[in-house]
Amino acid sequence: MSVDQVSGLSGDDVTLHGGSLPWQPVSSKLVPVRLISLAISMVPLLVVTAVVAVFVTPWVWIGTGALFVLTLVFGWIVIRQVSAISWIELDEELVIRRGRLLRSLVSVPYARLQYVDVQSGPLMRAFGLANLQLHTASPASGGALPGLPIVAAEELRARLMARGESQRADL
Amino acid sequence: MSDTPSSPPPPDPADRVADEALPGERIVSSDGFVPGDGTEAMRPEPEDPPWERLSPLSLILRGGVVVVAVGGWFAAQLFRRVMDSFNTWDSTSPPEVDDGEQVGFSQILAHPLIATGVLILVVALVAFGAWMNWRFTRYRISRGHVELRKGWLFREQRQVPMERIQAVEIGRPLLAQLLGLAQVVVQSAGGKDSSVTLAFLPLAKAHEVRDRIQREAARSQGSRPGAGSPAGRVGSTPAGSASIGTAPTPSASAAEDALAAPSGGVASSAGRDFLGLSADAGREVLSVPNPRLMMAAVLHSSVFWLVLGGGAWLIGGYVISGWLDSPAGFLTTLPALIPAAIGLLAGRVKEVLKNGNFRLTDHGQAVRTLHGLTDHRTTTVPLHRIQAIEIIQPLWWRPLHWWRARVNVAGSHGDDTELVGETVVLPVGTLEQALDVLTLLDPELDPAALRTAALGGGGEPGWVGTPRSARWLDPLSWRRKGYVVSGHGTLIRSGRLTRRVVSVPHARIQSLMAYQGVIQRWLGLASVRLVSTPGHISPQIQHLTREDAERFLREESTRAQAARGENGRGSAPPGEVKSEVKPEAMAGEGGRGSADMACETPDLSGGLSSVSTPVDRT
Repeated sequence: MSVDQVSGLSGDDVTLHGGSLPWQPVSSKLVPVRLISLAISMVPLLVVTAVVAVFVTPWVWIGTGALFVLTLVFGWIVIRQVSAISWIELDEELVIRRGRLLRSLVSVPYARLQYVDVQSGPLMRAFGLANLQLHTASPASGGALPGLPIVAAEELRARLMARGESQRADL
Repeated sequence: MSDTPSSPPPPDPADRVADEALPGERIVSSDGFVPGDGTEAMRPEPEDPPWERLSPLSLILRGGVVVVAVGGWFAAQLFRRVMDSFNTWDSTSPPEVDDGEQVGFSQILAHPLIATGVLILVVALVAFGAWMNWRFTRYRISRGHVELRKGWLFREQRQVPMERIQAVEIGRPLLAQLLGLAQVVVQSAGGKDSSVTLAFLPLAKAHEVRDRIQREAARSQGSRPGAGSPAGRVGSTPAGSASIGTAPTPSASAAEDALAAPSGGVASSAGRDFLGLSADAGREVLSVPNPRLMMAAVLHSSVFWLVLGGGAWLIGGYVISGWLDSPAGFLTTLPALIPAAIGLLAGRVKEVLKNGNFRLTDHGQAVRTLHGLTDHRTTTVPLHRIQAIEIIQPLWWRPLHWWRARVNVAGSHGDDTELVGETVVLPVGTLEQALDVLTLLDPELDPAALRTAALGGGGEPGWVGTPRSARWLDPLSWRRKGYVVSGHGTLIRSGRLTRRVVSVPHARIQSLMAYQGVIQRWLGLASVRLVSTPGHISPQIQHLTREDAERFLREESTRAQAARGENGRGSAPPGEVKSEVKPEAMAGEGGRGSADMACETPDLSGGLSSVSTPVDRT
């Protein structure tokens, strides 16, 4: 999509949940990325408790079991979370929705964008993903869009910056 | 302290040297034993003024009371020991120590001559170190820079280029006032470490130095063709908003520097500032009498909790000790409360110190607060930089009908608490005063609406409040919560015990955010945040119905966009002060008795908003 092309989407239908706008999901590859990082933090704990259970006292199996259940719950939450992230480029602002239990919606006007970061760690890169972070004059804006394909993220960043420059307003 | 600097008792050779100001010559010769590194060893450029020294008394001040106290204590100990050893020596018996355990240091010290020698040596060493330190701390105001070099074993040199200077302030901590000294703080657009502090100088000298730096800074900043704005304000020039697409790297870095600069948009300035405000005192809007301020400081929740906690302690202690058959024994536990009391007292005293002698003056494009009981400060708040305004009435002030007013200012930083604290525009005052201040800061505000917002209980026409179901989440003040929208901005009301009203102009909203927690979802509620720049005020409307919240978000988004369109695009917002430096304005302003802090930094936000940093941080 070129910069000049107007999407024709006004914010009149923005809602916290559902709605008629063509909200875009983030890449579903974000699910394995997040599951792997969850596993990286949980598996050592599981192993340690299992080792203790085998060599010291079988009672610790309770802890191992609890951890395992917790891991499954977290995994389920991760899957649900990722599918809840959606975003849309409107005429004047970028809107990002996140969360199922704790829903949030951030609407960042292009005119307020200071700069846009694209970040990608090794794990994300292995899956061809990147995070997009929007920066306004306030750090509290919290406009972050995780798990876009790297190319899409770059394109979106370029588009956002161009729009930001054409619409920018003083504070 | 009076304006006249009480000249320090000993003749001050450094200042003599400096005052005579023989260009170059003098210092170079007198610094023969300073190992020159580079420039200094060279014969200075004809126009380079000499290096000057700080007041010798600054050693005491910079070490602070602590060093003096600790040093004093050690000296006293040593002295006593010396005296003791004299006594024991005089007695015929040798200094036989009890168990023979104290062989070593103390026994050696027991000999009067050695002890005296050690005392003298220690004093001499400390004095020598201090003297060397002082001797090697020198500053210079040359054409291009303010330079400070210090350190004897570990060298340090700092240079602040004149064109990067944001503000020149004179600060006078209490001890310095007692000694007739002042410090000059030169702030530049380059982050926290880029400021240079000349501490300390005699007051008159400090004024002279500040004026000199301001003259030089004005000249170098004014002499750059086309760039009327000093560094850190690059984006404020009209071109900044027009030529965004090609925002050059320097301006980007300047903006980032500005972000990191401690003296964000709230700056304090000496009589004049780079805003081009006139040096005159402006129209005085109000002043807060100190007794009222002290009263207000005492009426604070921490005091209430201490009284409550102390009372509970006493009663509980009495009851328990009654059981234990030792009446009044519980009184011995009272000292446990002392730390809490001291902490509380410190907080209250700090409040009074900070806001004492509060005056607010109107300068047309900006207001200026003068405050500080012992350390006089001036804070300039450019009106076009104000992002949000808040008035607040703690429960304890309600019987007295007092309010406090604060502002969020673009560029002022959250991590520097002292600075953020300075955005108080009315530490305590009546509602009428608060409304006066608010309408002064934002002339579009409607006093009647503000009064409703301040005192209303909910349900007024035009106001959108929270539904009844919100009472589960906020049983006390759900009825009062709500907002009203005008063509200019949003007025948000909250708090039944501590009443709070926040005003956010549509044009100042950074972004909008709606959120909904689990319980809120059950109750069909949602909250909205109107994201402002960092500061004390974080405007939000809690517990609206989900439909109201979503509608507000959509409509506010449109309103903000329209307001930005009127305000910002292509041209500077109305009321924007072009940051052209007026050298004559800077040069003026002789010493005001009160050490006025300098301030300025007009256009951080302009710089911020108009700079794009397409940095790929992948």
